[in-house]
Amino acid sequence: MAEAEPKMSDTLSFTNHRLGEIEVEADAILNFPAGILGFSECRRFALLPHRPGTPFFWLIPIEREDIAFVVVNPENFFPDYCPSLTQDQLAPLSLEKDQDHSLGMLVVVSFRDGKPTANLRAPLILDLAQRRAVQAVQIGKEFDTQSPLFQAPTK
Amino acid sequence: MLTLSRREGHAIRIGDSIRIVVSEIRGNTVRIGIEAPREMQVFREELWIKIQEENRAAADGPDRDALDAFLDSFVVSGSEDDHGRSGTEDE
Repeated sequence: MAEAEPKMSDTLSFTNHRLGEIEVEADAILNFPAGILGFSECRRFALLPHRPGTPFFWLIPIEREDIAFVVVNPENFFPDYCPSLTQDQLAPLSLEKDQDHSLGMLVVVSFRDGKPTANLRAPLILDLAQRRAVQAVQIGKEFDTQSPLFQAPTK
Repeated sequence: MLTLSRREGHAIRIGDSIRIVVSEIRGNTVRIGIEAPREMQVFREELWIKIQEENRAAADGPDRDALDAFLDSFVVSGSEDDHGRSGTEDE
């Protein structure tokens, strides 16, 4: 059933104020069926690496030109990070037994006063195979919305 | 806003798929049970606001050049691979 058919890849072009013209393959678009809190109008995003050799990515909504999220793989910064994921939290991913679901995780980064922090309270769980994602808000208080990405650097 | 009076054990329905039950009233605390479709996210409002605020702050971040400049400021020659180093104590 999942036999790969030879196909022309459709591309999607859109503009983002912070990143300029974006062109991505249409089937690389990431869908957030439940949206992201505060941006319920945004359901489709492009996920692009920032620059080779850095662990930073851009999560860019197609529905809004004026915003973009910096995201990182938490493994690179918080190797012990292990959020709890319930079936309810993952429900928007529509996981099914007979489908390929390769899950990945990213966390959203904020910059306040030039200091990057990661929101470990609300990781993004990605179904890389099905191109769906959900922001899995952690009910418990063990994770911080503003966890410093780096220790204080030497000046 | 619609305001309803309910007693312990009574419920409220919102549409076909949401049921809210007053499961316990003790002093000035009410325990509320919520039955809703799985894909519907249910949080305490404080948490909902907190996550929303954090998402908004993140959405209003740097542009590509600013992130580059920021990352360059961290790269000390020969130590790129050691992002977790702590040079000084956190205050």
